[in-house]
Amino acid sequence: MRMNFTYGKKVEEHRLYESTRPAWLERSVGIGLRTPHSDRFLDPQALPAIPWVEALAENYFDRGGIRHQTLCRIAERYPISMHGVALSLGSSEGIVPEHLERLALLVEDVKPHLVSEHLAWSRSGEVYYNNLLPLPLTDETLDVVSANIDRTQDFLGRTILIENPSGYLSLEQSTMSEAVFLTRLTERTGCGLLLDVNNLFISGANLGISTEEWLSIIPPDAIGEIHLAGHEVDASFDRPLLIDTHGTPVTDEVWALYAEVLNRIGPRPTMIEWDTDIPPLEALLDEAAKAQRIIDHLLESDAPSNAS
Amino acid sequence: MLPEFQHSFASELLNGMREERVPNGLQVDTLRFGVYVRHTRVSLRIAIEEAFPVTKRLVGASFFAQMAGQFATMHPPACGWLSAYGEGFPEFVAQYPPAASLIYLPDVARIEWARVRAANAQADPGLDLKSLAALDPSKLENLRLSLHEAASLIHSAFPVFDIWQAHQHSDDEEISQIDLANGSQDILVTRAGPLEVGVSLLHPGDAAFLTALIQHASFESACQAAVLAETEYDMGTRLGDLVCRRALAGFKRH
Repeated sequence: MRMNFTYGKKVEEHRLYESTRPAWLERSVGIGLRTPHSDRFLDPQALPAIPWVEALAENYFDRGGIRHQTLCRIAERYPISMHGVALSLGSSEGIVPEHLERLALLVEDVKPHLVSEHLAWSRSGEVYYNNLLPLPLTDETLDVVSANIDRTQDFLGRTILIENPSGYLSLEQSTMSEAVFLTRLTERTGCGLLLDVNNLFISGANLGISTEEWLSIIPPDAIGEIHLAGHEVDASFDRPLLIDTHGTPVTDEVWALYAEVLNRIGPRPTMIEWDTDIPPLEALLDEAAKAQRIIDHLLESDAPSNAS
Repeated sequence: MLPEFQHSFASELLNGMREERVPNGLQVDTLRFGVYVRHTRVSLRIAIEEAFPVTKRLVGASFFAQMAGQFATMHPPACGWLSAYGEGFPEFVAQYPPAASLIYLPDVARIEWARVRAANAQADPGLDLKSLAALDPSKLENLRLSLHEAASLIHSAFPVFDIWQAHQHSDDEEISQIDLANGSQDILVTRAGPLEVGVSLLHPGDAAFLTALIQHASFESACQAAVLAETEYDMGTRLGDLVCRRALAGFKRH
């Protein structure tokens, strides 16, 4: 840990995300656990060959309910990564105490290797919008998100990863780029980042963000997990807009960007997300195998430098 | 400024209008703002669809999308876990004018919501046969039983259990044979096991018995209500049967 003194401004403590990931996880590819596939993970005769799965936290918030019981059984055989979608870390109103309490109970029950959330907000007043909404990237927002992440990490007693959003709107109030914002967030809170390569590609295309520049700003060590998913093109706009649908295979461009990311930062736990028009489990396993080949290829070609 | 921004942004996400409109003062592209509006509406509609699959099949996908969309606009969820979202949907269906001709539809939705409730409740076995058998017969008159927390009782003036069951395996022939004039049915929905929800039909005596318990009647008067509804009511067998279906709560420990 080091201290950073900025003349005339308040002293800001720089914290570093410290990975506690086991080495095997670093080189392995998991898939998102989805309800239509749950039974396959409960059948001891035909357990899917995948090293770990990622669960959407809020689906399992009813302790003792069928979904929760199912996940607890799956967690006996498969390492879990816990991915929250509704904590609303960007809410100026703060986070909902009961939400955090339920998340903490779930983390206690299934002991995930990783816990992640989004750079987004989902609620305002008494309404939850079930959507990851965009934030103006300002110092004020940085204060709000940092405070909410601090509170979450303190409550859970562990660091979490924050996922970069898929962007559709450039907000004129923003005073810094997404990469700078995320980097400062990791320094302020010690949180890590979940790099969603598909989201980065979408934001690149929709908002004109340079993925090259984005990757050159983000500290590689802060990235603790990678997501891959499919997107679709909405051609009803003057300039076609890419929409993060999670309902199709990963596109060739996103595979290429993924390989580029790995070349830069080395292997990371990678996960295939599929949320709409969910295909048979085998389609997800095929996508995971494809990502695994990219990691394996990288490790083979890097073998001499890795040994040093 | 962030509170004002979020308040303003959120104000047009569920405005109930067909056209997407950018909130006043927000300098953003209308079409792109519409991406967030559409996704919010669609994701809430899907949450309702997943909880009410048979209701959806009974009215068709586009009719259901209209109905669920209106529900989501008028009654958006209050919390980030959606397992409790949709509780008010059966009543909304009952008051939804375009569905008025499908008089049995709200009761089908009630069965579906009872299933969601049971699935998300604690997996508690409730009253067991052993503690039932251990009761002192001389003290039965003071005994008070109650419905299991995960259990629901649905009384319908229509054969909605038959309708619900026929749609489990989409047997069109079975569906076409259901006659709405067949009369009323009482349905029990329970958490039948750790990973299982049970939906079953109740005899009139059992329905009267459970209804009395819900109204906090004593065991004795619940039995009287059961006999009144069904002269052949055999308390011993029927009570054991309800216990096996996990309809009754365990005795509270003092």
